[in-house]
Parts: sequence; C-alpha cells; structure tokens
Amino acid sequence: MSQVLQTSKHFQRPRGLAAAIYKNRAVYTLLLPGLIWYLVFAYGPMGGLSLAFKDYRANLGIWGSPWVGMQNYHYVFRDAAFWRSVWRTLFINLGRLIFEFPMPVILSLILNELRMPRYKKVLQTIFTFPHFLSWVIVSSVMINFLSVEGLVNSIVKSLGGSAFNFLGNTTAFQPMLYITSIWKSAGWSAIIYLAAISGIDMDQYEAAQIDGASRLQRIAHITLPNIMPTVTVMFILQTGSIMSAGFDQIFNLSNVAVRDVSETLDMYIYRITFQAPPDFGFSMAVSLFRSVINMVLLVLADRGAKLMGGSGLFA
Amino acid sequence: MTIQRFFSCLLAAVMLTALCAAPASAQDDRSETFTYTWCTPGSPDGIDYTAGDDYARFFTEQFNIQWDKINTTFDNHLERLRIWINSGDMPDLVNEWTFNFSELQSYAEQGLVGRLPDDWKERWPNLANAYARTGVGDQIEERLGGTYALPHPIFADHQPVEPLVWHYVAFMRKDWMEACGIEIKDSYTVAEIMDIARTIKEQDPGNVGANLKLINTHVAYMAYMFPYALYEGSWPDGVFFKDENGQIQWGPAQPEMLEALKVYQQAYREGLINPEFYTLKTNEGAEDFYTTGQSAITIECGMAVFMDRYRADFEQNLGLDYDEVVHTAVITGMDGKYHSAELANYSGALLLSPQLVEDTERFERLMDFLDYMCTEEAQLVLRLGLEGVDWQYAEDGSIELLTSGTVSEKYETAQRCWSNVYVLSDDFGIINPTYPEAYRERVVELYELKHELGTDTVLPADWDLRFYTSPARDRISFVYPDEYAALILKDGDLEENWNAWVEEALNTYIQPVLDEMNELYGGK
Amino acid sequence: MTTERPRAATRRDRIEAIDIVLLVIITVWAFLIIIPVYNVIVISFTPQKTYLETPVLLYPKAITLQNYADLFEDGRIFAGYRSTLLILLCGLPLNLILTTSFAYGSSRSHYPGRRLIFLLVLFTMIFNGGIIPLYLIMRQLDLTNTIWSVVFAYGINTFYMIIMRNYFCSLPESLMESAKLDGAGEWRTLFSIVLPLSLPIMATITLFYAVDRWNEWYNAMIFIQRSGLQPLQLVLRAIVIESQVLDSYASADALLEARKFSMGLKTAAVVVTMVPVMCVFPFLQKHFVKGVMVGAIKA
Repeated sequence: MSQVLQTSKHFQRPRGLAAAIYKNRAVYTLLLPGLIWYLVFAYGPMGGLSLAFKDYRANLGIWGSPWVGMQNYHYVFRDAAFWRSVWRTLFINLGRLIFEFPMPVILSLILNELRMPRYKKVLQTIFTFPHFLSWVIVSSVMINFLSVEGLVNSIVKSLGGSAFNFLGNTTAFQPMLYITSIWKSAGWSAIIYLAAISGIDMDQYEAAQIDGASRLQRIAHITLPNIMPTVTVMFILQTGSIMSAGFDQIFNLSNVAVRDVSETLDMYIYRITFQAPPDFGFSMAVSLFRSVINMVLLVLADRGAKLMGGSGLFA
Repeated sequence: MTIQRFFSCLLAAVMLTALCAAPASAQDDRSETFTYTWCTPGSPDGIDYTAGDDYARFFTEQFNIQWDKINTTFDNHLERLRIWINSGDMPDLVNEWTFNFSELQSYAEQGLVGRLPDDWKERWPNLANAYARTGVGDQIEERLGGTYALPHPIFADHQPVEPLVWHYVAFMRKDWMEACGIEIKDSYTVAEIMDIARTIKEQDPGNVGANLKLINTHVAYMAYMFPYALYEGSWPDGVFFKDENGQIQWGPAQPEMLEALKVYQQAYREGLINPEFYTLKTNEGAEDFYTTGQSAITIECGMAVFMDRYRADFEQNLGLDYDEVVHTAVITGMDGKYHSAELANYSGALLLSPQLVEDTERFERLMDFLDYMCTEEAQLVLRLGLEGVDWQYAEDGSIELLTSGTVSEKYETAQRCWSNVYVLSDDFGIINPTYPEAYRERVVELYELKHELGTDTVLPADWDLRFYTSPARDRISFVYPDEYAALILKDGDLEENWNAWVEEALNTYIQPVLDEMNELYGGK
Repeated sequence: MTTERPRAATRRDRIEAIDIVLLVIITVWAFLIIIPVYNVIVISFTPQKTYLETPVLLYPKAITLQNYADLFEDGRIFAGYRSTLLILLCGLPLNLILTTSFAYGSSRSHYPGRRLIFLLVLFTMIFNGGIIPLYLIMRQLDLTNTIWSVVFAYGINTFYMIIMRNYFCSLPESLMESAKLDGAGEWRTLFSIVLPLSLPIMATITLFYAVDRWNEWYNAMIFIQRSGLQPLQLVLRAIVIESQVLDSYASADALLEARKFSMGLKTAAVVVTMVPVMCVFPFLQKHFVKGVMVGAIKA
C-alpha cells in the first residue's frame, strides 16, 4: 500500500496533486473536525516538549524559559536507579506482551465457541466486572486474599502446606502483576476481539461447515485469520506504550518489601516529582525519553508485523 | 438556598447598618462585599462556608467577605496547586499543607506568590504575633528578602515545650500489660517494648489467638519506634547535621544507623512486628488496635483529640473503657533517652496570590480578617462555638460549656476549613475543654517527659541546613521510612545491604550536597 | 439450512470433548472473577469491625447500610452524577462524531497527505506536551472552570480511532465503490453503508468512550477549580480519600481525617459507580455477541 502511494506521488505533477486533492475534497471534510481537534488540543500543548531542554519559569512562559541544553538529562543519566527502572520496565512489560496480551484473544475465542447463548451473555457480563474496580480496591482485595492469614494461605494450610508470603516476596511479585492484570482486564479487552469476530462474514463458516471442517479447523482457518489484523494492531499499539504501562497497578500492589523489583520508570518519575520540588523541565526530560523509546519500539513492531506478512498499523 | 441567600443578605444589611452606626467603622469602610477564592485541602464540597451556619456567618459578616471555595483533597492538593500556581492561576488564598521551602523560593523568585508589604507586621500585630511563634518566619524572610508565606503555627499561645518535638507516642494495652505483670511506666526503651511484646506473645492475656498482632502500624509510623527512637540522625528533619568538629554529616551513613537498623530487623524477624506491616495503608494498623482489639501496641499522635477518639472507639467497638485499657508512653532509645530532631513549629503555610496583594482594598480586608482570627476572642469562637450558645464565661471567668460535642460536630463549616485558617487547632487543643481534662494533662505530661529525656539527644533545628537549597539538594528524593523498612526486609546480610545502599546514596545524591554545605557552613 | 444462522447449525454438532474442556475453563475463570467481586460487594455492606476481623467474607455476618449512608450523606454524589451525565451527554457524541468521521476519512485510500496525517496523529499517541501547556490553552480559550474543558480535553482517543479505522479498512472496498457509482458522497456512504456494517465496532467504541467518560476525573480535577461542577468520580475520590500522603503532617486535624472506614466506603463507591454501567451494558452487548450478516447486505 505505501509503495503504491509513493510511486503515485513520484509520477504526480503539482497540477495532478491539486486535482487529486480536489477530487478527494469530501474525504478532507471527513477529516477536518478531527484534525482541528488534534491541532488545538494535542498539538497546541506540544511546545511543552521543549521543556525537556529548558528550565521552566512560569513567569517567562514555555517559550521564554531559558534553554539549558542537555542539563536535565545530565542528572538523570547519572542516576543508577534511573537505569535500573528503565530495564525493569522493559523486562516487566515484555512479559506483559508474552503472558497478558494473548489472554483476551484466547478468551474471546473460547467465548465465541461456547454453545449456550444465555450462559455466554452472563459470562461476558461477569468478565467485564473487574474493569470497574480501581487498582486501589483490587490491591486491598488481593492483600486480604493473599496475606499470611488470608483465604489462599488458609486453604494451603488446611491442605497441610505452610503459609507462603505472597505480598512481600520479590520473586512472586512479577507473576502476581501478570495474573492480577489478566484477571482485571482480559474480559474488557476481549470485547474488541469479540467485535472483530462478530464482523466476520458468516458465509465463510457455512462454506467450511459444508466442507466438513472441524471446530478447531474453523477456529484456525477462519476466526483467527479474520481477527488477525485486529490482533496485530493491538499488539503494535501495546508495544508502543511499553514504557508507560501499568503505573496504577504497580503503585497500588507494590510495597517496600518488593521495592527492588517494583520501581519501574513511572514509579521512579513519581518518586522524583512528589518528593522533590516540582521541576517541570526535569519531569518532561524523563517523559520525553520514555516517549522516544516507545516510538522506537512501536516502529520496530510495525516493521516486524509487515515483515511477517501482516498489514501493520498503516493499512 | 434562596431563602438562605435572602437571610444572609438581610443579615448582611443589618450588620452593615450596625457597622455604619459604630464609630470604629469610620476608618474601615466594609460596605462592599469582597469575594475571595480560598483553597483548602480536606474540606468537603457542597457546604456553604460563607453563610452555611451561624458559626461561619459570625466571621464572614464581621468582615463582609464571601468565600468562593476551592476544595481539594489531601491526595490531590499538591498536584492541583502546583499546576495552578505554575500556570499563573493561583487562588487568592491557599492553605498549603506540604510546605516546601525550595518550592516557595522558586515561586517567590518568579513572582508567582504574593509578597506582603514590608510593614505588615506593624499593621496586623495579632497575625504577626502568631507568625513569630513559628520561629521560622525570620529565617524564611532572610532567605527570600520578604514575606512570601505565612507558615501555620502548630502551637501559638500554648506551646507545651521548647524546643518542640513530634507528638507521636506509643498507645499500649494497659490491661494486657497488667495481666502479665508488666510495670506501667511513662516511658519505655525500645528494648523494653520488645520485651513487652514478647511477654504478651507468650501469655496472650487477651486470648486473641492466631490473630494477635503485637506492634502494629504502617511503615511511616513504625519509623517513630525503629529507627527514629534509637537514633536522632535518622529523622528526615535531622539527616543533615553538624558533628562535634563542625563537619556536616548524613545520619543514615553513621554507624549508629546500622545499630538502629539491626534492632529493627531483629524485632521484625522475631515476629514482634506485624509480619506484613509493609502492606498496611495509613491508619490500618491503628484500626486493629481500637476496632478489633487484636493488637497490643500501636503508634499514634499523642494529642487529646486522638485520645478522646480512641475512648469513643474502644467503647463503641469493644465495650471497653479507654482509661482502663490504654496506656500512652514515650518511646526512648536503648539508653533511656528521647532521641529526636527538633520539630519546627509549623505545618504548611498560608499563601496569598500576587493579584490579591496588589488589589489593596481586598488585600487589606483579608489581612484584617486573618489578624482577627489570631485573637483570643476569635480562637474561642473557632474552637468552642458561639458565645452564649455553645459556651459562656462562668462567674469566676472560666469557660463553661453549654452544649456537648466538638465544634466540628456542631457546625459543618468548621470541619477542616475554618479550624485551620491560620493557627492550627493543635494549639487550642492543649486547653480545649471539649476534651477531658485528664487527656489534656496527659498530653502535656508526655511532652514534658520527652523534653526532660531529650535534653542532649534532641537535635536542634539548624535552619541553614534545613532550608538549604541547590539543584543537587532538590534532587534528593528519599522517603526515609521506606528506605529503612526496605533495608531490614531485604534478604541477606543487613550490614552488607546497608553498606551498598549508603555507598550508592552518597555517590549519586548525598556527597555533592554534603560538599556544598560543608563549603558554606562547615567548620563554623 | 442456508437461511439458518451458522450458530444454530453448530448447535446440532456432536458435543465434542473440546466443548467440555472449554466450558470448564471458562466457568472456573468466571468463578475466579466472581469471588473477589462478590467479596467487594459484601464488604460494602459490612461494618468496620466485622471486616477487620474477617476480611475475606463470603457471606455477610452483619449487614449495615452505614457505608452507603456515609456516601450519600450530603447529596454531593447527586451533584457528581449530574455533572457526569452532562459530560457524558456533551462528550460522548463529540467523541463519536470526531472519531468516526476521522477514522473513516483516514481509511479512505488514494488521497494526498494520507500518510502524513496518519503519522501526525500517531505522534500524538506517543508524545504529549504535558499538563501545564494544556492548562494554558484551556485558559486562553476561556474553558477553565466550565464543563467544556473536560469535554474537549478528551476528543479522540487515537487508540480507539485506529481500531475503528482498521475495521473500516477490512470492509470490502467494492461496497464503497458501488455507493460512489450510485452518486453517494463520502458522508452519505459513511452513514448509509459503512456504519450499518460496523455495528459491533461502533457498539464497542461507544461502550469504551462511555465508560471512559463515566470514569473520568483527572481533567476535571485540574481544569475545574470550583466545586459543584465536579464529576462523580472526583466526588467519590474526595469522599473516599486516599490518605497515604498524610503520614508526614504535624497537625492532628489532618491525621484524624484518615480515620473513616475507608474500605467500606471505597467498596460502596465501587458499587455505586458500577451499577448504572451494568444496567446499560446488556443493551450494547447484543451488538458484539451477535454476528453481522455482511453477505446479506452485500446481496
């Protein structure tokens, strides 16, 4: 697709371009409301990015604040805790891509194959419940269930095991992040895939059935390929937020006992900005760094998807 | 609502006529109503703080002022204010609760907060008097070249001891201790408290069983016992101090710190502390103490208002008599001395917007109001309610309460809005007759005991060090109680972990600051 | 047979082992969700003392409505509901119009600037200028302290827009071409051809936006100073104060504030927010459970 665009650009002369624009004027009217919104409310504040290289002075404004070059980065990059948090974030969130990302897809496939329509509706409603519980609540419930005196340990003890300290255990922390996250949001994220599945042309199933395809074959050859573009897009988008995912969760589930494995980049930024006087240049410097990594990863994922024969983001 | 408005207008009109008739009003014309935006944390929405009840009207009508209230919560207060102030949209009047000198300095330099006229202390003497009690006013003015903030005095007229120390004490189950034959004392060393916990663990005098929690509070409060009580250099306010050679040192790197951490770790590993205390959110540890009665020792604010609440909680939840079952005591170090860093007598500050200060008439009216709020007359109404309704002077001049309950129970506008206009409620809390006399006396006793036991172990405030600002200093972002708890919870050898932690902290953050401070203030 | 829906046809298949396995997996999973959620609901009806003694309650040992009474005590919640509904009523249509037209517009092929526009949009998903510049813009537009600041601050969620665009791209191009040949403009094609074929994704995105609006609080917290306009979630947060930051205050007053039965209040607040959404959910749900007969429309 992009190749087609590029070649057509090469061959178009300015007059042709004007004609093409004129021909597509209706498309631009479709884009216009959204573009205006993006320009005012997303690009309007974009000047704030320059604060990463400035010392923000409110009285001088964003543009008038003095440039300080790389000074903001100079301090961050020297801090060992910063680099540890960067690697930890990458590590934790790569794990999210591996363990958490497929779950909503699997869930939507299972739900789709379920035979009892009423039960299916009830189940679907149930799976969306946890989305409405904030992490503050989820963490409190987790603490109740997993504490030394909690339900899980009571069961373990009644089965003859000994109590396990889940909450203060550095090795259990990361799996706990994945499990709670799947628990909380798999059902909600599955809605997107269910929508994609609902969009599949029914003719395909009928044809397959006539050919005598089994259930698994139908999943593998019709459902999955049909939702694959959605899965790819979701995957790329998720990769693009790899450095910024999951703050609320980690903030609420972590405690000082697991601090060495829980200080992600967001937690680091939080600590820096709330314990020290506000330095907007400094926090912008760190968040710009994070955005750049996100962008690099997003582009890589997009390229990767295209190499693997998918369509990528830019379909 | 309209009826309320009507009445308030009517009342305002009546007041106005009265004021016009009075000769004193000739100099202050208050016929025009001024409206101020006023931002306070923790005050609930949906209450008319200007004219919602007689209590609010008593103050607003005298000065013909109205509030356009901005209510923040304690958890979003700081974030919202920072954005507003840094965008030049500061409310007229702000009760800042997390006063940070470096932040104030930056606002002052940029003209983002109002600067009071230089003669304000002569013009508003009552306010100036309360301000002087904080002891930091001059220090801040000297560094900023003017008055940019009015720090809230914790104590003004009723400061129990000088130098001031933090009010946290141990709340212990007296009945259990007596059942185990433990001596009831006014102060215990940390070792003694650990012994008490051991004994209670063995004998379980309350028959609590498996749910028994011995020393139970969250990380931030646990620090008042381990390690603050053991070593004064571990207090966040005292981490930078001058040693006997005049060199500035960092407390957490001293050998005393390691000793204190060892005690902390021992108490934890021995099971004397709630094994999952690090998961507790604020107050959850104390909740166990007064709600389920499953905890032996907790740490809490040693103020009469707290004791009174504990009394009510024990009665309601457990049917127990507070005076029989709870004992309050000072926690001392192994040497029996009270280790602490002097508590600066302020918490948060009142800030005025630059626009307000320039608007002379409105500014002066507000200052008149603030000045009045520091007088004894206003304090009595603030803390007790209206004279003749809630209290009156008895014949001997003492105060006689006419109704029971605290002022915030009686007037909804009082709660966390009016009560901290300038002087904090702690001050009057020392003499407030709404709380039982015995509790108030106990509070003063505990303060005096800390003072007595802390003669040479309370680090006096060194303002040069506490108010020192530099880019390097501003980058230190340790939450000390968290750091200490993380160290003792970590696997492996405590000494090794501590050494590694100290080394990294010094290299990255601390040493540059120590060098800067030693350059400026060292050796003197 | 051909007129029957395929789902109905599969029902006549033999019950395979895989059906049993799936049924068991999904049921266990659902139970793992229900137990804690149910626990949360039970806690909201439990007095503090009972909760502290037995935090994992599977049946209410003592029932109280105190937590709800505390929550509804002073009517602030109702003011919050009003603001949230207002935000929803003004904001949701804006979200949908902006997102749908933009997603459809950018899914069209062969117009100059397509790639550039898409890249510009993608850029905003990863980079943003921070809250202070946005605040300054809101102030310049005179939107601070009005509901409109909240409405406009969240116009297009690029994530949702891309998903929707992706769905539009997957529709057969021939449909749009034939509409064009019939003389339909792009807007008419969008409304008469594309949207009816996109009910599942429209229902999904509507639900997502609605729930986002329903749960929104951050923008209101920053852009609206005065009380009275604050949405439900902000009111709830103020009642159910998260008090971890209180630890370092020196004044007794602030510390006392932390002493409500916060877990009871928090869970009651959750129930209060969840119930209205759960009432609306089934109406949207049918659109993404049921299949769409693309073939039928094509024919």
